[in-house]
Amino acid sequence: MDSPQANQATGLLIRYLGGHRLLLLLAVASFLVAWNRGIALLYGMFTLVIALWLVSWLMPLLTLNKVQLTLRQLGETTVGGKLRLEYRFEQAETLAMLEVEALLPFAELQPSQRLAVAAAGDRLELECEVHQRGEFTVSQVRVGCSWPFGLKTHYRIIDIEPAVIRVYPERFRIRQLPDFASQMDDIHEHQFASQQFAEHEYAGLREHRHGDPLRKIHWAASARYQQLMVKEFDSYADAEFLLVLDTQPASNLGEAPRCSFELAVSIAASLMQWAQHHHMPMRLIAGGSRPIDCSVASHSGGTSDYMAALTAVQADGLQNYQQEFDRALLLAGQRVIGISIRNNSQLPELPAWRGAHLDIRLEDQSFIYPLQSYPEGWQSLQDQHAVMAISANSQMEALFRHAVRVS
Amino acid sequence: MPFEFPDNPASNLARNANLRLVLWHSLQFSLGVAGAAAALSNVGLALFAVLITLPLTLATLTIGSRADGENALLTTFANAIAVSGMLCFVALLLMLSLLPALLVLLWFAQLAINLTTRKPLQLYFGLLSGFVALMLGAAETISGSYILLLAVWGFCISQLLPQLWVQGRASSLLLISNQRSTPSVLKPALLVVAIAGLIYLLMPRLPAANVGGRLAHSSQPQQNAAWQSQAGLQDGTENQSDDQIKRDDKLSEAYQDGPKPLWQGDHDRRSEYDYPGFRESFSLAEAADSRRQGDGQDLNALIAVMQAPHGAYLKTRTFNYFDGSSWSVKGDRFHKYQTDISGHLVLPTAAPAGPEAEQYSQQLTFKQTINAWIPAAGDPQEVWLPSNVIALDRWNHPVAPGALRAGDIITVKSSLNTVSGRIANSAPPPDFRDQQLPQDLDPRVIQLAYQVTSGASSPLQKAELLEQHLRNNYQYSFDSIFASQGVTPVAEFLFESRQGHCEYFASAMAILLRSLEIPARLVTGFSATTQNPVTGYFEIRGLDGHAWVEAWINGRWLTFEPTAFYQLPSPQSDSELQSSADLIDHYVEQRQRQQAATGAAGFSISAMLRGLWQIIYLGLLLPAGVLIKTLFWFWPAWLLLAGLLAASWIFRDRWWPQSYSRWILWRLQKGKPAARQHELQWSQQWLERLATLLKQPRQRGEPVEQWLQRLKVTTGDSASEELEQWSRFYNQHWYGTEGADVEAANASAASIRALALKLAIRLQQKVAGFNSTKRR
Repeated sequence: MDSPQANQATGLLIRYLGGHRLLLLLAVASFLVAWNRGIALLYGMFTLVIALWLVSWLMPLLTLNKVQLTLRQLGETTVGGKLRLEYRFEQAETLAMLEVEALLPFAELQPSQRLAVAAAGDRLELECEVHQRGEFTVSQVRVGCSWPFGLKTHYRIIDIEPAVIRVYPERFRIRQLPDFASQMDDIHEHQFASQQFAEHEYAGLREHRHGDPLRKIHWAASARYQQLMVKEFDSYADAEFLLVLDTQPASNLGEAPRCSFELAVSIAASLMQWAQHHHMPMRLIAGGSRPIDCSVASHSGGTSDYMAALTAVQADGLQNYQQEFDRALLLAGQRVIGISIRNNSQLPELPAWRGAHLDIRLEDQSFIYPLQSYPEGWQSLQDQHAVMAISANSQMEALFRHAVRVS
Repeated sequence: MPFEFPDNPASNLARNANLRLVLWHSLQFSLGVAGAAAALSNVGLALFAVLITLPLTLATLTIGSRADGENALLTTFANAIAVSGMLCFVALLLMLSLLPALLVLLWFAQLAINLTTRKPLQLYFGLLSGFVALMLGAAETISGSYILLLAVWGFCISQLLPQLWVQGRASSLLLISNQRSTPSVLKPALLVVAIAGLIYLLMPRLPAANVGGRLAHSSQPQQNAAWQSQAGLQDGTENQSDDQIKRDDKLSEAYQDGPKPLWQGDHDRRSEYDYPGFRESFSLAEAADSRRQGDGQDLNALIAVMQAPHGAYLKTRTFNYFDGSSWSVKGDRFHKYQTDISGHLVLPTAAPAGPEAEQYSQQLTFKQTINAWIPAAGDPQEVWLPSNVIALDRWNHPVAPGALRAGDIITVKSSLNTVSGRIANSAPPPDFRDQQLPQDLDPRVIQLAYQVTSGASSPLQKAELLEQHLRNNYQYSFDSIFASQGVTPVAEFLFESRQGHCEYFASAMAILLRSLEIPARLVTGFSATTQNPVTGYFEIRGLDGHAWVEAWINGRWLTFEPTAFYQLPSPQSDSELQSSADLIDHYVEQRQRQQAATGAAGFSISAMLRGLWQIIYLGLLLPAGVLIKTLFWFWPAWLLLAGLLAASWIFRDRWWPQSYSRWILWRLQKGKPAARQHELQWSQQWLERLATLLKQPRQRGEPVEQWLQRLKVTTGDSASEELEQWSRFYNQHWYGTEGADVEAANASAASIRALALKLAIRLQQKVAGFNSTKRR
C-alpha cells in the first residue's frame, strides 16, 4: 500500500521535476558529460533530448491554434440544478490529448474534461452545479493540449462565439393561493370576456420567439437590427394579479445566492408559474437596469417571457418599493389583487387600491442569523388582506400547499 | 488495480494503448541494452542481447500489467531476479570491469521492476533505464553507426510517450470520438529525429573540459622490478663529447635494459600490430612488405583511437643510423623513473613550454597491442601510464616497460612548439650519428641535394626546398621497390622509379639533408589525422603507420613531411570551433584523397554519396554553420538581448500599451490604404479595432446608431458630427434603396479617419492615465 508520505513525495517530484523539466535536466546532464569527455556521440544524446523537448514544447502550441469550439446550453437550468453545456469541435483536423475547461464566472467549480481524441463535429458535454441566477455570456473556454508526447501541457484561453447561458430562478410548486372571493369572480369574468372580445393595443417591438406568427414580423426593423423583430401588442386587463418586485439594493439582505432578493425572485417565478398553469392573469412589474413588465394572461403561452425577465433582473433599482408599487398600479389599474414581497422590517405605506392584497413578508433576521427559528406561514387572512411570513429556511412548498380563503 | 480500465468508452483506447506501450517500451530498452553491449563487447553480443531482452521485457511488462493488486508470487519472483542481478554484478566486477557489471545490474533491475509495475507512471522510469544504457554505449563506442541507433531509439521513444500519456490518464479520459486511437505519431517522431540531426550537424563542438575521468587504465597494469630498481640513476652521458661517446659506446646494462620486445609479450598474437618501423631496426624492403594487403596485416584494422583537440603526428621511434638499406638506432639508453600511484609522471627532461606553445592533451585507447614506445606528439610533458615505472630513451621519448596492450588507456600531455610554422621539439642536440651517411651512397644523391638547394641561403630554406622537391616530383605508391643490382633503394627511388611509400620519402630527405651537413634523422609513428566525425575520435589504423623527418635547424629539431600524400597537421588551424558538418566534410575529403592516392577511380556508390553530401554541405549546412558560428561568437550581445527581452516581457505593462497606442496614432496619421476605393473599408476597420480596444465593440445585432452613441460617450462628444455623418452613410449604403454616391463615400472615409484619430488619442490618454494611477 502506498504511504501518504510516498504519495506526497511522488506528487512533489512530478510537479517540480516532471515531464519537460526532466527532459531539460537530462539534456543539461548529457551536454555536461559530452563537453567534459569530448565524446561526439554524447552530443548526439544531447541533441536527441533537446529535440524531444523542443517538439514536446512547441507542438501543443501549434495544435492549440487549430482548436475551434462552439458552445451551447443544453436544456434549462435552474438555481441549484445542473448546468449542462455542449462544446462542439469545429476544426477540420482531428486533434488529440486535449483538456477542455469551461470558464464560468458564475460557477464555483469549473468543469473540465480530458479527451484523447477530438475530431471535427465531436461534442463534449460538461456539467456543473450552479447556485447563481442570471443571464451570462460565455465567450471563452480554456483548452489544454499535450500533443504529441504528453510531457508538456500548454493551456490557452480561446475565444468562442458568445453563448448566452441562462440560469433560471429556483421555483417551487404553489398548489394554492388564498382565495380572494370577490376579486376572483372578477377575474373569471375577465377571462371569459377576453376570450370573446380580445382587444389589443400596439406596444412596441421585441425579438422574435418561437411560436410567433409570421404576420407579426416587422421586416424593416429586422433588417435594421440584423435579426427577426415582431410587433407586440398589449391586451386589456381589468382585474388581475399584480406582482411587484422590490429591486432596491437597500432592501436586499444577506449574501447572494442566499439573500432576500433571490428568494423574492424565486417566489415571483413560482407565482408566475402558478398563474400560467391555472390560466390566471398575473402581471409582474419590477424596476432596475433590466425592468420587467410582463404578464401571464389566459391567452398567452410559454414561460420564457417572465422567466427570461426574472433571470436577468438585478437588485439595482433607483425607486423604493412604495414608488414601485405606485408606478405599477398606474400601469395596471386599480382593480388588482396586489402581491407584494417585502422585508419584514420594511413596512412601507403601500398605496391604496381597490383590490385584495397578498403580502409576503420575508423575515430579515433569518438572512443574517439563519440558524434561529422564525415564525412562518399565514399570519393574517381577513379584510381581503393575506399576510404570509417566510424566512430564509422556509419550506416553500409546504407553506403554499393548502387552500385558504380570505374574507 | 494497475492500468485500470473503467467502464467508459475510453477503455478500449486504453487497452490498445497498453499493447503498443508494452511493445515500444520493450523495444527501446532492448535497443539501449544492445547499444551498450555492442560498445562494450561486439555486435554479436548486441544481437544476442536484443534476442533475449525483447521477449523478456515484453513478458515481464505484460505479466506485470495484468497482475491483480499486490501479487505475492510476482513480488517473490521479482526479488529473485533482483538478487540474481546483484550476484551477476559482483561476479562481472571481479571478472571483467565496472561497466559491463553495471549494465547487467541495470538489465536485471529493470526486469524486476517490470514485474512489479502497478502504475503507468512507473513506466517512465523504464525510459530512464533505456536512456542510461544508451548513454553508456555512446560513451564507450568508437563506431559511427551508433548514431543510427540513437535515431532509432529516439523514434521508439516518440512512439512510446503518447501511449504512456493515454495509459496514465485512462480513468479520467473521455472518448467522444469514433476514433479508437490517437492520431499517428509518425510525423512528430520523424520531426524529432530530423531536428536532432540538424542540431547535431550544426552545433559547434566545444573543446573537452576533461575534468576528472580516468587517464590511465589497463586490465593488467605493467610491473617491472628491474626497472624499478634502476629508477632515478644517471648515466652521466649527457655531456660527453662525440669522441668520448665513440670510445665508450658500451653503456652499462642499466641503461641498455630496454623494454620487452613485442614478440616477448604474453598477449594474443592476432591482436598485435607489428609495424617494422617500430622495431629496433628495419629495412626499407621490410617496410614495403608490410604495406601490402594480405601479408598478415590488415591495414584497415583499428590500432587505437585518440581523443585530442585536433590531429597530430604521434612519434614513437627515432632512427639515427642508415646503412643504405636499413635504419637502426645506435646509442640508445633508457633512463627509468617511477610513476605515482595513478601512473602519472611529469617528465623530468621536459623543457619549459614557450609562451606560444600549445598544450596538447592526447588520450589513446589501444585496440591492438603495439610495442612499448608511447606515441606522443610534440614535446611530452606529462604521462599517465598503467605502470609503476617508465623510461625515457635517448631522445627523451617515454617508453613503457612492455608492449601496450589492447584495451590499455594512456594519456600524454605535450607541448606543441612551432618554429617557422613547423612543429619543433626539444630533444637533445644531434651527435655524429645524426650526420652519418651510408658508405656506398650514390654520388648522384649528393649532387641532387646541392642542385635542389642551390638557391637557398639558410638551412631552413634548404630543407624546405628538398621537402618540396620530393613532394612535387615523386609519387606515393604502396609498391615496393626492388633495388636493382648495385643500386641502393634510395637511389633507385630518387632517380629511377620516382615512386614509393613514406619510408622512402623520409629516408631520401634525411640522406639529402645529411649530404648538406644538416643533421637529420628518420622518425616513425602514427599519422593521427583521420577523425571520425560522428564519434569524434581520431582513428588510427594500420595504414596510418608513418615515417617522416626531423632536421636540426637553428637549435631545434623541426618536423618535415616529404611524402606527397600526407599533410603535416597545422597546430592552431584546427582549434577554432567546428561543427559536425565541418568534420564530416573534412572526413569525406580525406577519404576522397585516400581513394585517389590508392588509384581507386570511376563510379562508385560511395563516390555518389560523397557527391550528394557535397551538395547538401555546400548548399545548406555550410551557410547555416557559418551563420551559427558568427552568432555564437557574438554571445555577449545575444546574452544582453535575451536579458532585454526578458525585462521587456516582465515590465510589459509599463511600456506596451503606450507604445501600441502611439503606433496606432502614427498609422492613422501616416498610413494609407493601397487604393482609394479601399479607404472606406480601411478606415472602418480601424474604427472597429479602436472601439474594441476601448472596450466598446459593436455587439451582434446592435444598431449602428446605438453603437455610435456609446462611442460618443467615449470620445466625449467631440466627434459627434463625424459620427452622425458616418452613420447616415452606413445606413444609406446598407439599408437604403439607392446606393450612396462616391462623394459620400469619400466624405465618409475622411470622417471615419478623423473619428478613428480621436479614438486613438483617447486610447492614448486612457493608457497614460492608467499608468500614472498604477504608479501612484
